[in-house]
Amino acid sequence: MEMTELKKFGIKLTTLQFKYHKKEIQFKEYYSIILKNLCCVKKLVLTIEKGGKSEKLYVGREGFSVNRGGLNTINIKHLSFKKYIKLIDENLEIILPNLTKSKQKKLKRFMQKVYLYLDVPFVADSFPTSSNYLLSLTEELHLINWGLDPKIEDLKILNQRFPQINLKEHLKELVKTKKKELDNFTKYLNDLDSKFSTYIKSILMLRELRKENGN
Amino acid sequence: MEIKKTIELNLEQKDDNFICYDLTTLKLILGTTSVIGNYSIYNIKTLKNPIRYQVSIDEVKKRINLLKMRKINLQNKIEIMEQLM
Repeated sequence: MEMTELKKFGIKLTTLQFKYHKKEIQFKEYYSIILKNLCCVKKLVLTIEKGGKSEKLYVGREGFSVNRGGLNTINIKHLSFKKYIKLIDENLEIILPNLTKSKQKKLKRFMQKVYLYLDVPFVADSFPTSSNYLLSLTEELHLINWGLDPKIEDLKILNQRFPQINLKEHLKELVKTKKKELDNFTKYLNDLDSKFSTYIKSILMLRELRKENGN
Repeated sequence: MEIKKTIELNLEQKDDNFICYDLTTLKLILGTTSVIGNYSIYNIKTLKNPIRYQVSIDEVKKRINLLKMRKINLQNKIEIMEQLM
């Protein structure tokens, strides 16, 4: 892929920035262009939007970094994000030589964490399994995962893979919060439903009358 | 979204539509906080002088059904979590 083709896509060569969700279909295409033109791309900024907030992930020739605050709220369960990570994973050989050693380490560490959630086999032989690591991992899971909406399947995988992590305590808290959410939601829904059922019935009746009268 | 204990709806019914007098009501009847910028998704028509928002009855029905589905999903999720514990 040549630089002229990059221009055809309207991509600035210095900073590539696009909103991920809106460009989802084109993302693979973008990424393959970026990878093939890594020598002339200084920085790629991937913006992930979640709940009105946006988090940024930086990948590129200058390095790979994840904004620390962002890591806590990035929705790494998002299917598109999975695709994105897989793309990085499949192209690590191309990306890594372009990074400094410290950035390479950083990227590898980040990928190791990400694999936990994505059910992708670990590539790193040196994946730490010490109890200290598991402890910090549990804390991170709390930060990363529980603030979001964990998927049951992911929890099951996590439970199977890391029986050492005590999920019970986390789940206890989560169930408590979810039950409260359900109570509030049920109240809201019942209230809304009762208020609208009269409206809706009368409108439907009017429609039927109109049909009968041929209007 | 923030859920109020009692819902005050500032709206009127006109033909097959609801006319909302404020955004809060609009958000409440559609069960979403992301109304702004999504007018076309929710089929909202903005009326002027004064500003009001027109939503069809079908849209509200559709949203209420979706909210009911969300409730069922939440219930299922809690059940599975309890099984996992």
